Amino acid sequence: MSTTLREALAARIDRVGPAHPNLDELVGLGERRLRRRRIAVVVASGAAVILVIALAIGGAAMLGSANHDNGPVDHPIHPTTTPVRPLVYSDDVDYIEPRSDAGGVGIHVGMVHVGDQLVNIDQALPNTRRWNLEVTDAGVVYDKGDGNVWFSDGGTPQQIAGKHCGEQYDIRSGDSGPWAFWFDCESAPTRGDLVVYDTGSGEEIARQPIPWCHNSRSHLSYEFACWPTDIIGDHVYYHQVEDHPGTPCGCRERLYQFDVSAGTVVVATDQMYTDDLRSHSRALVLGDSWRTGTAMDGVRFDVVGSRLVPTHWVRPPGGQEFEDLPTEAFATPTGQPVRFHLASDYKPAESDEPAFYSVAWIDDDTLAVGAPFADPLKEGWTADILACHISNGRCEQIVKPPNHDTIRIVPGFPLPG
Amino acid sequence: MARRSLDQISAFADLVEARSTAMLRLAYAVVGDYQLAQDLLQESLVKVYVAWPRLRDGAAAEAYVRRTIVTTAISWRRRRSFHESPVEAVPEENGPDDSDRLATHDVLWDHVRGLPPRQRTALVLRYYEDLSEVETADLMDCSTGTVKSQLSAAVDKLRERVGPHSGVLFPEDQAVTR
Repeated sequence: MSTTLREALAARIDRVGPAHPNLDELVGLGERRLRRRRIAVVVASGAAVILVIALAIGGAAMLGSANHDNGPVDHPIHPTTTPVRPLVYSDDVDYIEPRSDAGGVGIHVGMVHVGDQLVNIDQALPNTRRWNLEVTDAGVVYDKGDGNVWFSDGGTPQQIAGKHCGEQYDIRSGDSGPWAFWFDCESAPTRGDLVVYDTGSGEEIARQPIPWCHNSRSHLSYEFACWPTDIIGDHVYYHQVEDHPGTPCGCRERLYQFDVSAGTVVVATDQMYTDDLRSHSRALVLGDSWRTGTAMDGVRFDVVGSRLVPTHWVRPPGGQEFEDLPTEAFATPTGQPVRFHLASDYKPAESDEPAFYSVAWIDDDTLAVGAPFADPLKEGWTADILACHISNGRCEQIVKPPNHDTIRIVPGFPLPG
Repeated sequence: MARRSLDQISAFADLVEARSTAMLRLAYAVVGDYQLAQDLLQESLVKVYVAWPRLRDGAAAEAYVRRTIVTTAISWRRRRSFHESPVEAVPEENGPDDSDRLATHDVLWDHVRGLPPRQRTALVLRYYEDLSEVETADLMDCSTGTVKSQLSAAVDKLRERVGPHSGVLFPEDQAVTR
């Protein structure tokens, strides 16, 4: 007796099922991914999630207070000779089968562009939730999956530290300078030391014990209650979860500032953080004016004709949900309006919502911005990357879009999948 | 607060309810492993949930799920695609004995699982899902020429492996006998 190929295939395949996907789980995963996407692009180069949310809720009003009446510093804007930060991205990314205990989709990252060098990272990630890949002026810092901290200046990667603590946002760098920091749980397993590392000199420059980061309180889900947030100048910011009766979780998240020069740790206010950002050359102030606007280091720009219009993630008056609303951008600390425009011969990829997001500051005058892939199923894929100049507003393509089936990852953007 | 509206979640739930079994079978067909197929289906449905506002209707959503399943499955296997996946236990060739009809299906399926990912995917889309070559190419994100060559290679390989007396009628055989 004979059987057709189709009958033979159907005989096995049709045995499968019925499927019973858990709808609540699917919606939960989808919502988490939507939040992660939003958060990741807003905090593209460093500010912590909680701080951004706080700023979005109350930032404009709070910053509109009289604390910035000094006005912008009056000095000319011109292309600077500040250190040039390497642009980091990878086009050597594949989906891989998930580890049985991890579920979901994993990815493998092979070669990574670090400036004009190609570095073999060879990193398998069991899922696409997160990966520490931070850029400094000297190169790229990342975790190797087992928690160890590695660095490459464009040459062969080397381990620079043992296991760091925590589960999310575990390594951070600033928008300028060679520093990166993390919490060290290997040499300090019972307390967790905040370690600031200079990737340029290859030296640890500060180590501050933060014993209360180790959380033994059973009602909190965090095993390690601190996570790195940002570096601005000599100030290292981190968040900590603490007991706080009266809230649904009985806890609260607080921002702390470690002053590396002074060796002191203090509770930081949002105002302290934004003041630091305002005095920093690599951030933008979003809003109607420099005085009343909010300093941000991650910005979304909508493409309107040939212009890149900055948007601000705020709740509109009377509105229920946050939206990206068009606004103005001003350079810090000069206060000059920033008006980016595309080169006349450049056409962005077709998309329902053409937009670019901050990728990294290459120098004080140059902000690299990236476009998300137009295909909604290529979530997290990044298309071309432009360099936009504060001094003249001109944006030039510096990295072409990848081939249609090539997955590109860029630090600060959500991972694909 | 959910970023998707109740109407969108409801429409998504309808898609999940109505089409999950068919999608799970497609996932199983292209990866050949039940556990992986479930992971693949979940991943694809989550992607569609995220992309939902940009999908015009339910048909578009289903098409996106199918495309995600296919492209993700190929990507998962891409790193292994330089060599074929080993068949765990290659059964001996069987004759066209009536009592062995089910065994013939099993033999063939084991060989299908052993095909390289693109060949296996083209085969199941064309001969199990009954898609045209154009539709198969669209789903696989490749040209129809690639689909033809992958199909030809897959069928040749299966024909050689199951042997001339397996009782399996391949597409060309059917054309001749009709």
